Amino acid sequence: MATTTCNFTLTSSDLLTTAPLNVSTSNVLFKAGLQIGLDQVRMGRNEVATGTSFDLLDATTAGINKANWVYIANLETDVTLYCTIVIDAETIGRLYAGDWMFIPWNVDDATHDLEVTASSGTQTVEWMVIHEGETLPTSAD
Amino acid sequence: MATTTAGFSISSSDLLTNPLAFSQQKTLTQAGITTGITGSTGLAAKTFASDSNVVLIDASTTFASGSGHEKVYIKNTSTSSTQYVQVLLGTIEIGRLYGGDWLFMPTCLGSDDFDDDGGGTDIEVTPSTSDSVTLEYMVLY
Repeated sequence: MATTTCNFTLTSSDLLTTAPLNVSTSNVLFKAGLQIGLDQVRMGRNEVATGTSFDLLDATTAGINKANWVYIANLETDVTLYCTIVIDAETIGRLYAGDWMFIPWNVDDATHDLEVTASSGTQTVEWMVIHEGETLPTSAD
Repeated sequence: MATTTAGFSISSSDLLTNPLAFSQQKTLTQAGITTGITGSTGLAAKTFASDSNVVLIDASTTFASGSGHEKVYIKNTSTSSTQYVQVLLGTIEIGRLYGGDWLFMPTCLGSDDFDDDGGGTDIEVTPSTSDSVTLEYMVLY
């Protein structure tokens, strides 16, 4: 098992008038229902062309009810650009330039893909999935 | 406008043979412009003692309109490694938060149905058991 720690901070001195906003938390990534660390990882950087919805992460039945943690960041700097993130045909939201997200991803069936669509141009996204349950596809040739 | 910063970092000394460590920070801005976000629900806490599906964040009544840049933070504050809370967009499960787990993601809150499927964009949760569990959550917009 591996020990992988994820930290989150949210700070602002002026979003709220009553007090500064200061949220901080961390978690260690475990296998589903266990206290055994996740030990598989995939990561990448992709250029996403506009006009097509692409499977950024393709769900497979091997991942059903397993722990999957997904990080996605839009590396663009033009603030008008965004990528729409969709799960199983339901829109989660938009990652504008510089935005990032970190979510658990429960693959409850083989259509539970995480998809990405660029609003304009060709946008670069970075991603990482730390997970369990993956089996490599059998070679067909 | 306010200056609100969301930070993420991940580290592991043994997930890969070389240490894994990176971080990402983003000043949260309104959609498509450099102006900082101005709104927040504030950090809220809700305790559940049932395994019923409930709406945690009602998209259409909480916000008149959304632009997809809104962000949601949810944390399961329990310490259980076996009990989890499903986080869903309507009927589509995003993932499961076990004790101590958190997520941060963009969302499409508001009356707009971004994918025009009529499914809405409410963020719903379903605890896996009726044991008491508390979620902290916050919407930034």
